[in-house]
Amino acid sequence: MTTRPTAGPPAAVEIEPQPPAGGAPPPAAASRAAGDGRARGWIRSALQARTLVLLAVVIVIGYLAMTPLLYLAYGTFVDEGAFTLSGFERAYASSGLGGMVRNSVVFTIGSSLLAFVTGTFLAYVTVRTNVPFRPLLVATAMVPLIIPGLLYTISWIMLSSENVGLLNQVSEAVVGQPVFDIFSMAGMIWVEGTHSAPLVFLFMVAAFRSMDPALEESALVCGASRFTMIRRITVPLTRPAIAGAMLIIGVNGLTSFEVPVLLGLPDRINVFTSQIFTELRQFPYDYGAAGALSIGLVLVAVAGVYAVNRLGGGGREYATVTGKGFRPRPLDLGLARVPVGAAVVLYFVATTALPVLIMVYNSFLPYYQRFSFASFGDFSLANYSALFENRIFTRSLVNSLGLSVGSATAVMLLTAIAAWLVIRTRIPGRQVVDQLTFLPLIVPGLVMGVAISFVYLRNPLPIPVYGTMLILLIAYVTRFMPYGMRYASSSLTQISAELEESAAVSGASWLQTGRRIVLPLMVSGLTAGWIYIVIVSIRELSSSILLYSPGNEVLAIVIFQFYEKGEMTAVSALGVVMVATLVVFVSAAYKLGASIGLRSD
Amino acid sequence: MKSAGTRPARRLGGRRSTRTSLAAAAAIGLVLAACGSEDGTASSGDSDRGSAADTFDRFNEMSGQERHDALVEAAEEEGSVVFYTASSGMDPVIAAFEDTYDVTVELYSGQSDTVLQRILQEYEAGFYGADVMDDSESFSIAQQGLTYEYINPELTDQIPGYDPESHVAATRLSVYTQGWNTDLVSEDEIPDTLDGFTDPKWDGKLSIDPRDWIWYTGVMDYYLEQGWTEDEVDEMIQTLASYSTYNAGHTVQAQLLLAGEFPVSLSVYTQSIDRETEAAPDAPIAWRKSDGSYVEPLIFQPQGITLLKNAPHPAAAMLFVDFLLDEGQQIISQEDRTPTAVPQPGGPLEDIHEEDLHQVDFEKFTTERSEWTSRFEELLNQS
Repeated sequence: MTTRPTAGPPAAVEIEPQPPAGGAPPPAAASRAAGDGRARGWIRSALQARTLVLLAVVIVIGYLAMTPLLYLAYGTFVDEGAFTLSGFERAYASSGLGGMVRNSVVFTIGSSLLAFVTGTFLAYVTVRTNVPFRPLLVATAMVPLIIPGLLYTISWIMLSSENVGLLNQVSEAVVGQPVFDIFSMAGMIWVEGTHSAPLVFLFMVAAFRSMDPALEESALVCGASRFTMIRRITVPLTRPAIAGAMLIIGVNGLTSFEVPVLLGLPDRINVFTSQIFTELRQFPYDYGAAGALSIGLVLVAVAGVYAVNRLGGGGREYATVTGKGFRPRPLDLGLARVPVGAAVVLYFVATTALPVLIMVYNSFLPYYQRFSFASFGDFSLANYSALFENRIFTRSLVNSLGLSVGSATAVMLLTAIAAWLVIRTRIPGRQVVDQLTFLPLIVPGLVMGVAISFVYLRNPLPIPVYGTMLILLIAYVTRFMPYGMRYASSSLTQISAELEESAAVSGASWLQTGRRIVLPLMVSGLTAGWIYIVIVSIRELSSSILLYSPGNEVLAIVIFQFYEKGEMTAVSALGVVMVATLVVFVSAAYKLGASIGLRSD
Repeated sequence: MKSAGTRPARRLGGRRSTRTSLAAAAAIGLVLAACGSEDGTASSGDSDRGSAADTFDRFNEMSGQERHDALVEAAEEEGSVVFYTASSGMDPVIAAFEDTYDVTVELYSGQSDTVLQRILQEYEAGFYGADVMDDSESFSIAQQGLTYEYINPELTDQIPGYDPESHVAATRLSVYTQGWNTDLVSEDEIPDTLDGFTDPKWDGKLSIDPRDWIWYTGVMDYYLEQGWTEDEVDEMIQTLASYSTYNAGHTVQAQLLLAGEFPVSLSVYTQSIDRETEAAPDAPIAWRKSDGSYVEPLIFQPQGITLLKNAPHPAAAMLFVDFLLDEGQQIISQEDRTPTAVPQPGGPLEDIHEEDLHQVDFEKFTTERSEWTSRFEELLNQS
């Protein structure tokens, strides 16, 4: 089968302006006129839609990424008006560094691997096989993402801590001793890994959808074993998505906060983020030290982007959507259907049903407690009515939905174009755009909040930002741009440039090609990214808390207020409402995405 | 707990140890101010009395019904008041205030450090949005010269230890106590004083918040008064820490205690427990025995309200302070179960004498902060 494109014409579309239809000066003009014409032609091409759009996108991305970073650099290197490296001294000259780095590495790699393996497995069986319980799978893959990290972590304490855990209640009854210990490295990896598996799932679903199964089928027909097929065909073809997912969950693990603090601390397991957090708890923030730590992470991340770009490949060797049509046919699992189905159900129960049920259970109770049948008598809807009595709940729900849809749309539009710029053109310095979009991922949310408020209190823009919803939008777009970029570029890498070339040859303008060919083909990846950003925007707390203003509250602020008051049961009720709302929302988005897209399921 | 220990000991660092936290705040302030002045939005200097000074002076000089009437009129004309706080229990106060007066309250609430951060940033940038702030950091911003004096002896005379010079009127008390899960431990076993928990039988049954250095300073002062040496107090804390699991955050602490994850929490707020038992009287959690006694010492840190000197709605701000120090105290004590600065009948600290409440040393909270945080962190690391 020949979906793999033939070697030959370069994948990248030359950015040199093509003669606009009928716009080039006639070649017979006099030499002076030709000079004029060239200049005019240059101006015309500069004014071309493509150039303008690309330029605008680069400016916006550069502006969003650089403003907080410049502030971070300033706060790190300048102290009392003079250049200093003392922040680095304070941040890195510590005795416990070795153990901390080791813990961070084990935790990050462990949770990333767990997330990666489970997320990929779930995505593959969802897209490619006739596995039973597919709707269950989609829920499994989405719900943990929606539950706020704090609540998810506490749910796990309620499930499997040595003293109160429900699972240990069961294990005591069965084997006579507690089997689970959530306050351990294994517990931390489990909670973090299952909480970020949905991110991988979203990436890989998009990748598997855009991949022609004929490639795999031909491998099998040619006598390859299933394992060889996966190793030689599936993995290489999904490399861009794998690279994107690994990069993001790696950084997520490295910067994860709730899990190390709630689960690591009681057992004295310390990681990198606790350090940044400690610096940020000082009065006032030790910007120097927090900045120095963040800059260390930025350097690690830049190296990571470089490595991933090499791994992910920039060219067409991974293009799987080509001029040739295909229709994915589910792989018949045959006898494996039963065990795979059972594994899916088990995973659903363990990572989705149990935490959600513990949350639902507690949302009906007057106080957060370990599971007992006696407590059923105390059930009431008081926590739900407390939600609606809260003076800002309704307003914040509306604000949050608006903001998350707005920021997800803005991010995906920006990054779709940026990804095209990076992957399809040969404009010098395009890799810088890639790295720019990635940088905000490394800046801790709180530091980002401080930086953004610093910038907009001295507003460089002609419109009011501070004290309006716009500042939150800017913060979200900046913070979540890295995710959007990974989604957009991994989905664009899979689309062969020959489709655009054919469109251009047939006389379509750049805008037409984008609108009619590229965007529809990317829709599956863009939708996945969009959904992810909607969810994380709704969850976002660390920047929002500093940037919101009265009237512009978001849901995370309500969570924070209930949580600070110790109303964990009300937080559970809110969690249940959020999960329910987002499940409806996400299903609708999937439907919509599928109907806009090339093909529906 | 390594997270704490990863910071270099300030004592060895030298440079950091000499730089007090407030000086550091001022330094950041200078940096921010330097930036601000570049584009011509330099902040007002510390000597600046603030744009709201005339209004504040006018009402500070008045008293009684005359003051109240004039204030209400001016406040209602302003129409709203912008209130910054780290307290999450202010909703009922705000609702009652809005019911009483034709003034809307715009609330900004965040963690204490974000509230502080926000107000410092806003003032350095010359953005004056806030009218009034209620938090433990009110004392810090008052020291930075961002606040204005509040004179109303009719109300402030009732606040124990009120210092008009501070510009801050205490409103709420964060009282640290030892709480226990009544399903897991009988109250007869609970000792009368904190040091009673050093009995080896408590090994593995305690929980401590590794960030509660401020509680540690209060414990230190209490036991020094009892004739202990600093080393003896440190040894006690170290023993307690070695018997404990570390659980960060007061809410997490109270929730896990309630769920039965550990039998005793060494540093939990009284209101965290009282709110639970208020909502569900059978919640298995307590900080007072059935005879009303409790584990000594009770350490508290005041939270206070202060007027911002450039308040855009100065009259409404003063009216709000009046309200919080009067009806507001009752509401906080009843609805939020938070101890109030003006003791309330039927409040959470009922029949506890003023002399049994031990306030943390203001100096240790502000200028000596870095020294005490690292001392506490070191103790936890060694255990």
